[in-house]
Amino acid sequence: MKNITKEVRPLQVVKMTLSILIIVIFGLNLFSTQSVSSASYPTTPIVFSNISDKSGDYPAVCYSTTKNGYNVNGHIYVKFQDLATPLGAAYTVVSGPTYVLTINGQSNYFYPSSTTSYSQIYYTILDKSNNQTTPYSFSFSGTMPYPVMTIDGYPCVWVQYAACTLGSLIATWDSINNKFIIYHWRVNVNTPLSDSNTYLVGGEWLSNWDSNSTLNLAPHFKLGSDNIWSNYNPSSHPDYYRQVKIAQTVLQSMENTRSLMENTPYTPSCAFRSYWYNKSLSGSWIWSWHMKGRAMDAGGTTMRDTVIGDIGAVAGYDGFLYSTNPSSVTQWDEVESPSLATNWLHGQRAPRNQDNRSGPVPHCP
Amino acid sequence: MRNRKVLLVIFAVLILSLAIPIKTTQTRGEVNNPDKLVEEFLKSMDNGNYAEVLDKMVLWVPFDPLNRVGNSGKLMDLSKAEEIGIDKVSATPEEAKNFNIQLLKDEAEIIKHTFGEDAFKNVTFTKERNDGVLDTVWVDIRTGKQITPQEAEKISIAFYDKLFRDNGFTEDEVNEVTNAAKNQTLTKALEERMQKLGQIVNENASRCPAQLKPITTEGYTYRLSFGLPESNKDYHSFFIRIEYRNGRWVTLCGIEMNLPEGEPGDI
Repeated sequence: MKNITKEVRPLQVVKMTLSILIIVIFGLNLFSTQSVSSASYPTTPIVFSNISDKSGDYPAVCYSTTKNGYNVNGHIYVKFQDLATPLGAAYTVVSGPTYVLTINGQSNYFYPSSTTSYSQIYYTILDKSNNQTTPYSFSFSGTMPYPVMTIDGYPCVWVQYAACTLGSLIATWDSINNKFIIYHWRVNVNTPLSDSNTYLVGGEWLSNWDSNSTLNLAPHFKLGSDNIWSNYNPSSHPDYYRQVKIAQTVLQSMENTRSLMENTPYTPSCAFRSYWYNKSLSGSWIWSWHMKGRAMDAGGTTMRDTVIGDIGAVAGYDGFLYSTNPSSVTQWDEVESPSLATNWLHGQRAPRNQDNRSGPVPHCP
Repeated sequence: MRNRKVLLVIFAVLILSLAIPIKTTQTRGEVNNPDKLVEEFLKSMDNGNYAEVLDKMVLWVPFDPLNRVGNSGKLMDLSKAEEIGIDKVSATPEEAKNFNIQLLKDEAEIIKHTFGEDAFKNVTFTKERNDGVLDTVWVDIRTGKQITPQEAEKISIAFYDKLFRDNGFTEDEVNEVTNAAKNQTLTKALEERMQKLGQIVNENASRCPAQLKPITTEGYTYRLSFGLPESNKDYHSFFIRIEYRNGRWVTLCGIEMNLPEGEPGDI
């Protein structure tokens, strides 16, 4: 009896110890796997940059800030909040849950585990010829190739299309430096530039986008047939064919110009320009307001000179003439001087410090 | 025999249990002991393993070598590098734009080549407070306390649900819009309802108790200076930036080359 007890006790102790050890290890593992499941994707830098020269295939990086993205099997994801902050966008979560990124009047909706996005903006345009205000709806669903997912406890989205929906000029993977770059006019290191304009933003990331050439954006102007989108096909960058970002104020001034010209119909030669379209034009400015969605080219010398008279234009900076008439019909804030716009009108809205001329916005080199 | 099998199973479980957390720590860009990392960095520098040091760093700051703080904002002309004492340039300005990581690695070689092997042996470093606003966190503005994204989501949804109800929308009506938008089956009427809901969200966003707030990082920059001639000390310095973000240490590192405005090399 005594011998048996001697043999059994150590075995029981070993078994108990092992059992406790296993329980402890499983317990620890349970906790660690919780963090592992969300942390198992390597981080990848996502650079947010303002927009610089037009000499390279992409602009040089400037006034930049960096956030960590996740590399999910080669696809780059970003936390919604990290995408919103450097661009000055608002991020909210509402029923569903639905993740909402709102910037410059346009709301973009995303859904958990879904590849669907939805972009929506409402605005009004006044037709001065009959004094009628018309409400417009710009609503598009989009399909991303990869769904929204939760990483590290944060809702994350496939960065490329999400960045484009927020009005980025370019959002692309830099394969040389292994980082993702988002070029956006509002990026300014850690303090995004303010911009109170309302922009309609769209492009190939939205469903059936190409079929919207005749979509009315204003009483007399259509998205594609009036060259508001950038109808230039940069074959090496197909996502930017027919990209658009246009301020509601520009659409309003386009209508106002038609009214000023006694309702004579006209087709703008160019409104928004993608980076590559602007780059393809030999005389274009590297900080062109066309790329910001705040300029339009149209007409000939008659329209140009009539508008110059309407706004009481006086010489300004860099070859622009600026308005001295706050009650002008067209409300263009600036036009190019005849020495630059030799036989056309180039009008732009609220340039320089976004809404006034008190100081220049940062200009990248 | 049975006991041996049990032990084998326990052993396998032990190995698996340990292996998973090990993998985690290797994939995360975090360190628990920044001073230890600095020490390792210096040790590798002493051994001349610059490439190894650079590769060892957990996360690179994507560094634009042509856009440095303190610079005038103009592009740096590396063809003039000789004038500031650098006698080996491995990239043209155009190449440097696209190969900034390569430039980082080459930079170590440039310093070594220019100032001799001892340049890396006389390392001094300072620890500076670094308070850049680099991140955002969720806070509950009623308590001022930081909350998790999950808590923020819960608070936010509850807040907007009440607002929707107060504005005459039933839960079913809200769900109908959400599901239709998600399934890309929105009708004109539902689109208009979505617009109204969106307006409610936009108009009340600032009143939502869950708010994103920018945070000031708590951390330090370890700035390393090398045995460079006094006249060139202002031009070159390596740095390791170690920051405490979102409750954890994150290591960033890079190289900095300060070019005072108007000096040669700054076009």
